[in-house]
Amino acid sequence: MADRQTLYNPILVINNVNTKFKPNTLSYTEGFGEYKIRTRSGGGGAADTVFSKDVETQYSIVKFNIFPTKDLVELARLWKSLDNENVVTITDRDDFGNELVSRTFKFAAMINDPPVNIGADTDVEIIFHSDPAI
Amino acid sequence: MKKIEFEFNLSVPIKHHKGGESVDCSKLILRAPSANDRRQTTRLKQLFMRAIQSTQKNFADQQPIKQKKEQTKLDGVSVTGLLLMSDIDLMECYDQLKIILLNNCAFIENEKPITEFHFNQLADDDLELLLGEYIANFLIPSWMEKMMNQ
Repeated sequence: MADRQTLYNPILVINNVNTKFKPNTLSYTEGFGEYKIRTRSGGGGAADTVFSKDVETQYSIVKFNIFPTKDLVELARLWKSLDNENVVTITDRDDFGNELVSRTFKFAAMINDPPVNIGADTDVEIIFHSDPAI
Repeated sequence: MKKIEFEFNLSVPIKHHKGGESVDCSKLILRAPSANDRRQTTRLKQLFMRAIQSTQKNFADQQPIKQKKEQTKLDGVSVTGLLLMSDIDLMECYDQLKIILLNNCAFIENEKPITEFHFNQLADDDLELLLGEYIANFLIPSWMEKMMNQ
């Protein structure tokens, strides 16, 4: 049942291409941004809170690791060269094909310049920042 | 001259990623298969022939429907109908079609080849008709049409 199953086997699509990544490394934020609560004092012990949203942090972050294979390393170069014209989609389905989650991240930019760690047991971390998830 | 490509209109648009946005696409451009796809095209042709055979067997006791004289060409709808009425494994037809299309035989509007991401979004009706249209346009040789009209 969907409410008893965590998201563990997502499909990652970047610019129309299914992208293979290291399992258990994919994460995203919704892009709601940080909320702030501050207190104000009315004097004499009376205090209440004021609420605000930090609009500056209203963007989504998608992070995952890839293995340094030829095709993925070239894809990472392409994502970087496309500036903020990448689109990332994350979908997860249960064993019956029912959709558990689907998020699209438009105008995504690969913001880091990751070291391509070359070796037998290495991977490369990719970080995208994008419009808030839809 | 044999057709080398045709346009297929989707009743339910599929999404594709373009210039930073997720946009709808309601038209696919289908191209003729090459020798690279011969394993899949041969299998599809065989299945189509078996479909004709099984339909003839199943409806042998019925009066043949009089075809209009001007109906000399098999179109996608007729092919789809024939496949659905037959005893062949339709899922195998879909599997073979998928391999062909993903091998640079189907393109979305801006000339990008479709990927599994696009194929999986196709509506059931569209996929059904797409199978028929692809067979009718590229896989049925002209002599076959003459045979059907004898």
